Amino acid sequence: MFRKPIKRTVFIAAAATAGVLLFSCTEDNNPSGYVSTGDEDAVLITRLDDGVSYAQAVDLAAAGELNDPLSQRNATQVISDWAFTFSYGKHVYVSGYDASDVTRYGIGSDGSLREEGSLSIPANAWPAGMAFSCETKAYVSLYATGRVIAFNPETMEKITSIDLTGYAAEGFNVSPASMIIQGNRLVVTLHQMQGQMTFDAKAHAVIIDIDKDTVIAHITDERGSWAGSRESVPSMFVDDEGDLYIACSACFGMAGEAPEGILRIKNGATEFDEDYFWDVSGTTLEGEGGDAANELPSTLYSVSYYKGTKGVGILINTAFMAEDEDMMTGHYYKPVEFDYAAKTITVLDLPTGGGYGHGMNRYGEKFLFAFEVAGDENGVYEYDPATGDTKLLFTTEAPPCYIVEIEK
Amino acid sequence: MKNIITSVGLWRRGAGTLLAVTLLMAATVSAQNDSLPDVEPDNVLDKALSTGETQSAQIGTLPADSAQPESVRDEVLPDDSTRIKSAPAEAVTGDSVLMVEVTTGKGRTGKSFEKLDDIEVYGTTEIDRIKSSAMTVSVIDAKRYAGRFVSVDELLKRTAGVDVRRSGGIGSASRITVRGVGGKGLKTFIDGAPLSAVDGIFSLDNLPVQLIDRIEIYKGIAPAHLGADALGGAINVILIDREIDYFEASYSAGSYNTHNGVLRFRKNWTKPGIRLSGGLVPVYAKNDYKMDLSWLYPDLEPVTRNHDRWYWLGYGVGLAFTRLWFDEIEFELEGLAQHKETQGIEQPTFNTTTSTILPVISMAAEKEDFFLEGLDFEYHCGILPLSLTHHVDTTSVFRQWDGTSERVGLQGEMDVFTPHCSYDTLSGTQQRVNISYSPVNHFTFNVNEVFQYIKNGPDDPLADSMLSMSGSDYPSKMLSNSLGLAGDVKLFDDRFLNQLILKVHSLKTEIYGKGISQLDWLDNGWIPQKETADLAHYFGFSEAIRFRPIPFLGIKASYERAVRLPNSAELFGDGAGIAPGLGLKPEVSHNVNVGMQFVREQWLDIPKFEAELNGFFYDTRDKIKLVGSNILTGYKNIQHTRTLGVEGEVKVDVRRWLYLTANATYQDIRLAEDYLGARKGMREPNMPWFFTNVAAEFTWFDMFADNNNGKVFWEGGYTHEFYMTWSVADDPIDMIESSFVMNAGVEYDFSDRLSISAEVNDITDSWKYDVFRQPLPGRTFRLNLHLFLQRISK
Repeated sequence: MFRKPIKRTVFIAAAATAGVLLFSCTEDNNPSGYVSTGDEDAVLITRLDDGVSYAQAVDLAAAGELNDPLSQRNATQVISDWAFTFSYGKHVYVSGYDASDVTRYGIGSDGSLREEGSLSIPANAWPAGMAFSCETKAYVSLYATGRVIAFNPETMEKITSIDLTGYAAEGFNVSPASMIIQGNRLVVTLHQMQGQMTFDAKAHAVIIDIDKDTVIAHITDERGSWAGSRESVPSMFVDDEGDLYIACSACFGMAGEAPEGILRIKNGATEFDEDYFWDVSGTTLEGEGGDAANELPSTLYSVSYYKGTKGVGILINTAFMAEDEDMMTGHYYKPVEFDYAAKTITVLDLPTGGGYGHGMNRYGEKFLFAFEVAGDENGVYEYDPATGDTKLLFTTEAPPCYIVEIEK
Repeated sequence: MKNIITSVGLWRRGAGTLLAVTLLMAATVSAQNDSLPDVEPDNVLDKALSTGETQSAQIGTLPADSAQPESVRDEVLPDDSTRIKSAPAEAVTGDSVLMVEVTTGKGRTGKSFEKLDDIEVYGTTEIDRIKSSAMTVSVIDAKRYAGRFVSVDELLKRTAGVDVRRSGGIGSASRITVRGVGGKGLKTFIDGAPLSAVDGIFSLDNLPVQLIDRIEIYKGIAPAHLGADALGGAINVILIDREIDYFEASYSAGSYNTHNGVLRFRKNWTKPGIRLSGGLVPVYAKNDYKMDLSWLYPDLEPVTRNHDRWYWLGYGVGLAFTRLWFDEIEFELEGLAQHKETQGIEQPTFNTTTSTILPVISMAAEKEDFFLEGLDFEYHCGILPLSLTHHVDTTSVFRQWDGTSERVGLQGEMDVFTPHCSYDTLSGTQQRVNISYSPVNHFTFNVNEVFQYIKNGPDDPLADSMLSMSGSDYPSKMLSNSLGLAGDVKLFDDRFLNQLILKVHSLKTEIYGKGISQLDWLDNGWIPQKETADLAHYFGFSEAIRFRPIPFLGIKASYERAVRLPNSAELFGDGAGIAPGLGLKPEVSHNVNVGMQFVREQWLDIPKFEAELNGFFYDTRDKIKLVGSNILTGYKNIQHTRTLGVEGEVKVDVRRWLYLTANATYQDIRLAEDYLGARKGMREPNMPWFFTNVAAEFTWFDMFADNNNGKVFWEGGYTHEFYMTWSVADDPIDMIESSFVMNAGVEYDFSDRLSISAEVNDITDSWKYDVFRQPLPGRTFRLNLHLFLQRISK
C-alpha cells in the first residue's frame, strides 16, 4: 500500500509529464522563405481555404532562387475574403468582397507592405474593378450597391459617388464590374443580376465622362453577356488602334444559352461595334491539350493585350480537369495566347489553374500567372510572348490567386 | 434494510423527447409531513437516493424494526458511494415514519444536520454512477444552480474539456466543442433523444436551468444509449423528473432587457396512478448592448445593437399513468414558438427575422422486468407533425452604421444578393427503444435503437423568383437508424469494469429538384432534378475499461472508432451556390482516452476531495468541409487532423461551507496533412487550445433563520489567445486576445421554497469579442426569483 507522500508525488509527476509532453509540441511548421532584397517588383496575393488572403511584396528574381516554396511568414493578412488587388505606380490597392474599405499599401525598406491609408466604402459592397485616371483620381466599382466611387488614390479621400442603379434592366439589380479609362472616358461594364449567378443575358456597359463624372451612354449588345469581370483580373483591353475589347464570359461560361465572346467598342464610339464579335466558345483550340478540350466549349475568363492583334489570357474549359476533379476543387483555368483579329486561340504550355487561384497580369513585356496547381506546383509562372518561352518562377506554399506589378 | 443500502438505479428515465422543453416532471420529495405517502418503504429511499444530492426530504413509512438500521457511519464503501443521511423515525400516525434527507456529504444541501445523525444509509447517486463508468464523462449537477439565472452554455463552459463560443447576447447562436469536436461532430440529446432533427431551430441553451437535473458530457466516446453518430462524444441533458406534487415559478431579469420565466406544476393522483403536469417558459431579450466596431471602422464610436430582439415561448402538458401494465406510460404535447431578429455587424439590419413554430407530440413507456426478470424496457415516440420556419431577409436600402444609406434594388440584408421570404416546413418522427438485461449482477446487456424520419420542405418563392431556380434548398427526406449494442462486465467486486459497444448507423436520403437553373453546371447533373436516393450503413465500436486498484482511485482507458455521417445539407447543397456532395464519405475518428479518477471522503480533514486527470488522442480523417472555387462551393472529405490533449479537474469540499473547484484543458489540434494552402502541423484556427476555470462557493447555513441559507459564489475563466485563421503569417491580424472573465453573485434560500439571487457576469467588462470577432455584451447584471411549493400526494 502506498503511503500518502508517494501517492501525491506520483500524481503530480504524471500530470507534469503529460503537461510537458503536450506543451512542448512543435510550433507551427512554417519555415521562413523569402528574404527581402529591397527590389520588390510585384505584389502576390495568396489565399487559404478559409478565404483569408495575404499580400506579399516579392522580388521575382530573388523569389526564383528560393529552394523551398515561398511561405506566407512575411506576408500581411489583407482581407478575410477574396482579395481585390490593383496596383498603380509603387502602390497596391487591396479590398475584398465584404471589406469596409479599400486600403493602399506601399513597400517598406524591408520589403514589407506598409498601410498608407484607406478609403471607406460600405461593408459588403463588393469592390470589383478599379481604374486610375491620374495620381489624384481613380475609380472603384461597387458590385453590390450599383455605384462607382471616384476617389483620390494619394489621399484615399472620396471625391464623388456615381449612382448607376438607374441603369438596371427591368427585374434586375445593376452591378458595375470591370472598368478601364480611355482618355477622358471611363468604361464600366455592368452585370444585371438576380442573386449572384442569374443575370440578364446581354452585355451592358456605361461610358462616363470623367471630367464631369456623369454618364454619357448606356450601351447593350445581345451578342455577348456578362461583360467584364467582377474579379480583379483583366477582362478588357485597348489595342494599338485605340479600340476597346471586352470579354463577355456568360457567368464563367456556365450559363446555358447565354452568349459569350469578345465585343468591341471602336475608338471614340459610344456603341458596341456591330461589325465585330468573336464567338470564343466555338473557337477551335490549338496547342497542347487543345484537341481534347475542343470537345467542350471554352470561355475567355481573362484577357490582356500584348501587341498587334495578339493578347494573352486565361481560358475556362472543364475538359482540362482531371477525371476525379470537380468544379469545386478542380483545375480548369488554362493560360492561352489569342489573336482577336484572326480569332484563334493557342493553349500555352503552362499548368492549369484551379478555382482557388487563377490570376494573371502583365509584367513588362511578359505575363505572369499566379496559379493554384494540382500537386505541389502552386506558384507564379511566366510567359514571354516574344519568344514563346514559359517557365515556373517560383512555387508557393499557399495557393496564389493574384499578382500585380509595382514600380521598384 | 439491506436492499435499501445499495446503489440506486440504472439510468431510469431514458425516454427522452424530441423537445422535452417543458414537461419537466421531476423527482424529489416533499418536506411537508401533513400527510402520509402511499408508497412502499423501499421506494421511499430509492427515490430519495435517485434524486441526487441537493433535494430536500421525503416522508415514507417503514416498519418499526427498520427504523434503526445497522450503523455504517464513518465508513467509506468500496464504490465511493454517496452518503445518505436520514432523520430518526418520527411517529405520525401509527407506523414509524422515516424522514430522509439526501446529501453527498458535501454538506451543501442547506439542511440541518443536527437532527440527522442517528441513521446513515449509504448509496450511490446517479451522478456518481455515471462518473464511475469506464467512459470519460463529466456530469454537471444542474440542480445546484436552480436558484440562479444561468444558461446551459455557461454551465458547459465551466467544464474541463468543454469550450463554448458565443456570437452575441441571449438567444444568439453558440458553438460548443468537447475536446475540440463541435458542430455536426458533436451530438446533443435531451433525455437520450437526439436533437439533430431540429438543429438550427432548437438548441440546448434554450433550456432554463430550472428544468434540468444534470448534464452528462461524454468525451471521446459515447454510450450506446445515445443513439446517434457522433465524432467525439456527446452531451445529454437530463430533465428533472420529480414524483411529487409541486408548483414552481421562476423569474429572471437581466441587463439589456432580458426577461426569463418558468412556470410549471405537477399533480399526482396516487391511487388511480394518474399524473398531470405542465409548464410554460417565456423568454424575451432585447440585447441592445453597445458594440465596439473600431476593428472594422476605426473612426466609429460604439454603436447600439438595433435589431436583436428574441421572443421565445416553450410550452408543454403531459398526462401519465403509473398503474397500468407499464410501470409508467406518458403522453405529452410540447413545443415552442419563437421570433428572432438578426443583428448585422458590418452593417445595421432592420428587416431580417426568423419565426418558428414547432409542436411535438410524444409518448413514453417503461417497464422493469419486462416479461423477464432483470429485463428493463423503455420506449419513446416523438412525432413532429409540422413545424414552420418563416425567414425574411429583404431590403432596398444599403445602410451603414454611420447613418448613411443608399437605395438599391431589392436585395437581402444578410444575403446581399438574394432577398428571402421563406416558409420552410419540417416534419417527421423519432422512435427510440432501449432494452437492458442484467441476468446476473456482473453483466448487463443493452440494446438501443433510434429511428428517425425527417422530411424537409423548403419554400422560398421570393428567392426562387429572383434566381429562376430553387434559391434556398431542395425538398428532401432522410431516414436514419442507429443501433447500439453494449455489454458491461463487472468483475472483482466492481473493481474492474469492461464496456464494449457496437454501433451500426444506417442512412437513406432522398431529394427532389424543383427548378430549372439558368446555369449549365447545375442543369448537367450537379443538382439532380428528380428523386435521388442514397443508402449506406456504417459501423463504429468502442471498448472501455475502468480498474480500481484501490477503492478511491479509478484508472480508465477507452478507444472508439467514431463515425459521423454526412447530413442532408452536406449531401445535397443548397440548390444555388453550394453543390451537392453525393459522394461524401462519413467522417471517421479514432479516439483514444486515458485517465484516472481520485475520490476520497473525510480525507486529511477534508469532507470530500475529487481529482481527475485525462489525456486524449484523436485521429480524425475525411473531415467534411465546405470548400470551393470562385464559381462553386460544396462539401468534401478533405481534412485530416490529430488532437493531443490533457485536461484536469479538482473539486474540494474544503469545509462544509466552502467548496472550491478548478479545471484546465490543453488541446492541441493540428493538421495531419497539407490542406489547401494550410500546412501539416498548423494549429486549427478559431479553436481555443488552452483554457481554465476556477470557482469558489461559500455557504452560510441557517443564516438569520433555520433552514435559510446564504451563498456567495465567484467564478473565473481564462482562455488563452488563439488565431481566427491558420497561423501562416508572423503578424496575423485576426487573433482573439486572451481573456479572463469573472462572475460573482449571492443567493439566499428560504427553506428551499423561495430563493433570490443576484449576480454580475464579466465583472471587469473585459470579454468583448468571441470567435470571428463577434461582439459580446461584456458586463451584465442578473436578478433571479425562484418559488417552489410542494406537497405529498395522497
